[in-house]
Order: sequence, then structure tokens, then C-alpha cells
Amino acid sequence: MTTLAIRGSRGLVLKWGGSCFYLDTILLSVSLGLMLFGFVMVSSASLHLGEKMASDSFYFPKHQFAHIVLGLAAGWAAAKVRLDTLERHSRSLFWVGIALLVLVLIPGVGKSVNGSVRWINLLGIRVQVSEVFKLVAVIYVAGYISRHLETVRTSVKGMIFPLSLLAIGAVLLLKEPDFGATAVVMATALGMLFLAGARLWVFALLLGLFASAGTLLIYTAEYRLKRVLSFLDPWADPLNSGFQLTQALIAFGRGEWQGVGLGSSVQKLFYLPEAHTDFLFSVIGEELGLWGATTVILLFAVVVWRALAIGRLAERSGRLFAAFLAYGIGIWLGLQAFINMGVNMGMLPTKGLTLPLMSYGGGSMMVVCAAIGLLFRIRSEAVASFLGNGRKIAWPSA
Amino acid sequence: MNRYDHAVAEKPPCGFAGLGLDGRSRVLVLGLGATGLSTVRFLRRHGFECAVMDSRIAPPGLQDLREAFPDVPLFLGDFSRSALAAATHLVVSPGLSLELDEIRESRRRGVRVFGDLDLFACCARAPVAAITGSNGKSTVTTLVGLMAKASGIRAAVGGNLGTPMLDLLDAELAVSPSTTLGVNSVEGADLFVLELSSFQLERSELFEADVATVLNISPDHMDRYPDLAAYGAAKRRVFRGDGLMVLNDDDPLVKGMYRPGRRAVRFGLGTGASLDYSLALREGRIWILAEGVPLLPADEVRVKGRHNLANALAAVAIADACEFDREAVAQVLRTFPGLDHRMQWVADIDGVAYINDSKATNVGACIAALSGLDGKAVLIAGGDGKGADFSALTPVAAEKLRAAVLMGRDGPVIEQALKDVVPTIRVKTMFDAVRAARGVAQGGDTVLLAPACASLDQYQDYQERGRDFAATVRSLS
Repeated sequence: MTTLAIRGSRGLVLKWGGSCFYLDTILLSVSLGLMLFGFVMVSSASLHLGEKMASDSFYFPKHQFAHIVLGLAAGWAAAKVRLDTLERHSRSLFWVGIALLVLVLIPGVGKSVNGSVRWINLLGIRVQVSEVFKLVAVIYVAGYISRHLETVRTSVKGMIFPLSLLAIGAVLLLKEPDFGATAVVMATALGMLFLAGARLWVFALLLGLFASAGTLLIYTAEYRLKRVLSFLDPWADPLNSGFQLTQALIAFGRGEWQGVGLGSSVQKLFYLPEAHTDFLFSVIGEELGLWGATTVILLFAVVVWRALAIGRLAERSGRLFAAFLAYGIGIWLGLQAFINMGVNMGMLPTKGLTLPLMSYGGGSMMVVCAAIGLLFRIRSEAVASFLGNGRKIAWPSA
Repeated sequence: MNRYDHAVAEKPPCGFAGLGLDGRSRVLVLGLGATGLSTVRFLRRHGFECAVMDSRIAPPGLQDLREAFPDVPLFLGDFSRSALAAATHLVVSPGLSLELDEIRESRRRGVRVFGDLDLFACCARAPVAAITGSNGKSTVTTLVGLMAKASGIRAAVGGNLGTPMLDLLDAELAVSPSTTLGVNSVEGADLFVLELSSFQLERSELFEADVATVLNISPDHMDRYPDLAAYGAAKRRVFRGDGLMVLNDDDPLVKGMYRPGRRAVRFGLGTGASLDYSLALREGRIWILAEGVPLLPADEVRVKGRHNLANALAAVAIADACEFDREAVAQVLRTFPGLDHRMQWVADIDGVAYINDSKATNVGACIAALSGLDGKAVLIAGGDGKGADFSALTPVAAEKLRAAVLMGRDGPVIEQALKDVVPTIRVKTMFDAVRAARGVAQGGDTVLLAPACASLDQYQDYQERGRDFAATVRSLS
């Protein structure tokens, strides 16, 4: 028996039995909005592809609908996890993530797509392991910071230790290879440590180290170097290595201010590969124009704002693990959306990163939904600490 | 010796009504740490609604609080106006100044602002001996606690240092071993022995001790008080009520705290006949005199230095007021080795005594340590001088020192102040310092670690510095 109540600034209060769940209505509407928006765009971008590949125009929309249902279930499940339970298991979860990364590299277990081994089958769902690893890495770093805040703030060791554990994951990710996920995980971890108050010079040093490591990695793999070079000047070879990017740019150009209209994209028909996954944003730019693209950017900005605000609330209520988990999720989602959109607009070299909540794909959808479910949980626990369950006299929240 | 009669009588504590606390109160505890944690424990034990606010994101004690009281709201990071507006009472940690804008604002609105001492005063049913002063309070508090124990009196010891005073009121907490002072109460204490800081005293309106002393007043915490008079006024609050005053006759500021009509005893290192507790020469030895009766020879007191003799006299005065057994009192003075890092005896090597006074983190404490010593000393000093002026060290250095061994960041600064009056040696590490000191010390000398500086340039804290000194000395013996 669930009852709903709306009480002033506390937002939506869900009640069942004796306990309350304090729902963040802004985050809820924005994430549902992004999902719905994404679903419409994925449908638009994939009708012809479904026709071609499965003789069913609605092949991809049907599947994406299932992904959304699974995602909502994952989010619901994550929102029910007590944070102290999650904190206790943060280390074991991390090693499960590492194990998955190892598993995917074993021939026969991992599935290869476009030259990268990134997927394994879990209960019939094709899961991109790197997505799972991003979440467990954020959970792990949040746990580490809450356990060792003083060490992180005062010593170099406090920063090096979690990063070197993550480096194990990074090496495995690069084996797939998945440079994008590596960059997101490491940058998110750095951002979290920065927010924890790590020393600035250590932070700057590591940032420089990662930047040079990244540069080195780009130079050592030919396909990455090619991508970077084509990114710097996509028009040098528009029919080959610069193809995807030039087509994306053409899509944005065609979209102009208002867009060519929903469903009217030409680029998606043939010119733009991966239009329903990594390059969905270009289709948005073409069909809905600058306004559509700006709306997406704003919606993601709201998600990041909510994540940081929820983190702040948790931090102020003395829940360090929850706070850094929220910060981490905010940085991660913001970064991934930023990189994806940057790639689409030719501001960043091409990477295999999905647009959270919007791109076609079940694994990404479920993991991102779980992350957002955790955000809901974090806010609810923080607000509950002020209002209390069955407390006679309530305190104002923060 | 009937002074204790008043104290022995079971006095009814004023109760929570005295602070206006009732079931509808919302108590905001400002500042966590050990004191804040004990305050929450106390308030929850008595069923009051409370929350904690701290300007730090991860204040000490946070983990313990979250585990023990997951439902106590926390407001961390900065002061929440809305939480302050909702509070009916503020319990302010001694670490926070009452002059903060937020606290003043609350006061203006009629919110009761007090500290843990007033909560203690509401509930304590046994007599209280209160000890304050700039230097030596921990030593005297510990001595009185040990004397009570040796006399078979169940005393609960704590306050500013050691067990927070509100934990002393909880029988279950009181039986758990105390961390710092080594003496603690058994269930249902007959006597409370409290060490109180000026900050605890300044925010108390209700506390009245049965026996109270101000050991001495010297400039300290001048960042929190406008002048010495304001600091002294805060200390003087320990004498509220009509309990017995134990006054240090050698300290003019303390001496001036006497009020006609109050019962008082005086102690001092002089031999004046007017003193109740003093030193006297009998049969060629200096004795500690308690109300004219020789208690024990001063050189049998195990803790060294003149300031420790004053501490011993104060402890004896309080012990007498509480009617402890005099023989037990003398025995405690013979055996108490001193608190860690406070003029703590470490070793005797080749007739040279090694004393650890790592707690001497300012010039005043270093001067006190040196002037209390008999014979010549080799001083090990230096560290983070906090911008202090070391020239005050020069006279006592000229009189007492054989040499000065200087280390740490501000070693050179101290060397400048001392090099004209004593030989100085500059070293980098504690190992080199102890070796150099040993090299110049002669039989009968004392090697004294009294850095006159904070330790933070080379150590985690003064305890670590003291431990390093002691370990190095022992490794040489």
C-alpha cells in the first residue's frame, strides 16, 4: 500500500508501510524526459535500419522499449538498496567488476563488435562490461574516500592507492580496447578525489600524468591515432577515416535552427553509421535543429546539477559515502554526455561512448538507470535524516 | 576540618527545568568531537530531540555518531541558518567562540546558549571538585583522582581532558577504561573531579563546584580573549556558588579572586605562615606542609620541577577538602610518574636525567620547565615556532643551561636568541639531538626536551615527538 503526498520543499513523499521515500521530482521528470526523448529519437533514427536488418521497422524501437523497461526495473531496484549495505560491499563489487573485465577478454565468452571485445551475455542480455565497471568504480572510489578522507587530503599515497587499483581496470579496458570508458573512469575518479580535497599539486601532477599517458596511448594504437588525426581535420579524407565525423557535421549543418523535422533526417538513412547509438545526437541536431540539441544539453545539465546538489545534501548530513557516490555519478554522467556530444559535434576525437539514457542499448540503459536510482536513494536517505521516520519533532532539511 | 560537610550533603541537582529543557525542546549541538558526542549521548539518554552542527565536513567523532545514533540529524560543512532558526537550545562546544555571529543572533532571539558543563550541573548528584588554570590542570586533576582512589573513594575523573564530563554521569560509560587519565570512576561516583577549561567555564551559568581551584593565570588563548583580565574572568567562574576556594598565593591574579566571606584555603611555594599549604624547612630537608603538618619531603615527590610542587600542593589542598586519607595522598605523590610528555622522566644514563616535556609547545612552558629544574640542563628545543619571540628565553637560558641543542624549522631563530649566552648546537634529527645533548651533558645535569615550539614541521603531534625522544634516549642507554 503506497500512498503519495506532496509536502512543500520535500518534494514527493512515497509511503509504504511505516517508511517514507523522499523523491526528487526534478530529477525524476528530467530523467524520464531524457528517456522518452531518446526513445523517440532512437525510433526515428532506426526505422530504416530495422527494415534493412530484420525486415521489421520497429525492431529497434521494440527492443529499446524493452531496454527502458529493464532500465526502470534496474533503477527501482537500485533505489531500494540501503546505502550502508552498498558501502559495506563496495570493495567486493569492485572486484566483481574487474572479474567481468577479465571474463570478457576470454575468447568465446566475450562478444566482438566492430573489432572490440566489449560484450558478454548475461541472462540473455548483451551487457557492455565497461558500463558495469564504470558504476562499480564510482562506488568503490566513494567507499575509499569515505574510509580514508584524511589520507586522501594529506598524503600522496591516499590518492595513488585507489587510482592504481583503478589502473588495473583501465589496463583491462584498454585490452578490449575501450579507450573512452578508460578515460571516463579515470577522469571521474580524479574528479571525485578532487572534490574530496586532495592536494592540488598532487592532483595537477596526476592530471599531467594521465594526459601524457592518454597521449602515449593514442600514438601507440594506429586506429586511435587515425581517429585523432581525422578529428583534427575530418575533411582531409571525408570518404574514409573522416567519414563518420563529416557526416555528423553535415547532419548538424542540415538541421540549422529549427531542424528538418522529426523523422526527416537524411543522414541517418545511409550516410551516418551508428546513428541510433553513439551518433544519436547528430540525428537530433539534424531533425530538431539547434533548439533540439540545446534542449538535450540543458536536460543533462539539470541531471548533473541534481547529482551535485544531492551529493552536497548528503555531505552536509554527514553521509560521506553517499555524498561522493552522488558526486561521482554526476561527474560520470556529465562527462560521458559531454564527450558523446563533443564527439558528435567534432569537438572531441571519436570514442565509443553512448549518450546516457538516450542511445540505443540495454546495458548502458540499465547501468545508467541504476546510477540514477542510487541518486534517488541518496537524496531520500539524506532528507529522511532531517525529517526522521516517525520523528516527533522534525528539523529543517539542510 | 569540617569544610567537606557542605559537599557531602546530597544536594538536589537543579534539573533540566533550570535550562528550560522539556519534551518540546530542539537542542542543536554545535561542534562534534568527543565533547559533542558525549552531549548527544547524554541528551538522547534523557529523551531530548537533538541535532549536530559542525563547520567541518568530516569532524572527529562522525563515524561513531553515525553508528550509535543514525537518526540524529547532522548539519555539516557550514552553519545552517534554518537549523539554527529551528533550535530552541544551543549546546556550544568549547572549541567554538560564543562571539560567532550565528550564536549571537540566536542569543538575541532568546535561544538558551550553554555548554556541556551546565548539562552536567543539572544532573550531577555527587560533590564536584573543579580544577582550572593555565598550566598543570591535567596533572592536578589526575593526582586528585589517584588520591581519591587510594583513599577508597569512588571518584569519576574527566572533563576538558580524558573522559568528557557528561559521560561520567553514565554509569555504563564510566566503568569503561578511560583513555588518557588512567583513573576513572566505578558505578555511581561519590565524587566528581573535573578539569575545566576557560571555554567550558565561560559558557556556564549554573555550575557550582564544592571545591574549586584556579592554579595559575598566564597568557594563553589570547586569540580568543581580548585581554588577560577577560581570560581571568572566565577562569574565576569556577568559584561560583559557595564552595571552598583553593587559591594559589604565588599568583597575584589568582590571589585577587578571593571574596570576603568565602571559605578559602591558600597554597604557595613560599614559607609564609599565613599559607595553609606550603613548603617548610625541617631537619635540613624541604617538606610539604599541610595545615602546619609535615606530609612528605618535597624531594620525594616523583614529578619534578617547582611548578609540579605547586601542583602537588594544590592537589593536597583539594584532597584535604574532600577528606582523603593523608597517608594515601603522600603515597600517590611519591609514585605518580607524571603525565606523558609533561616533564616525564625517561631515563637516568651516566648520572644524567632525561626528561620529556614535549608538551612545552610555547615559550612560557619552556621557561616554566627550565626554571623548575635543579642544576644545569641541556635543552633540546625547536620546531614550528608559530612566529613567537624567543628572546624571553635568554635570561633563564643564561642561568640554567649548559648548552642548547636546536632542531626543526625554527631552530635557527632560537639559536639567534640564545647564542650570546650559551653554546648552541644545530642538528637535523631527534637522534642527532639526543646524541649531541649526551655529548655535552655532565654528571648531575638534566637533558630536557622542552621545544618551545609546535612539532608539526617534523611530527604528527607533540606526542609523537615525545615518543621519538623517549625511544631515542632508551636506544642509547
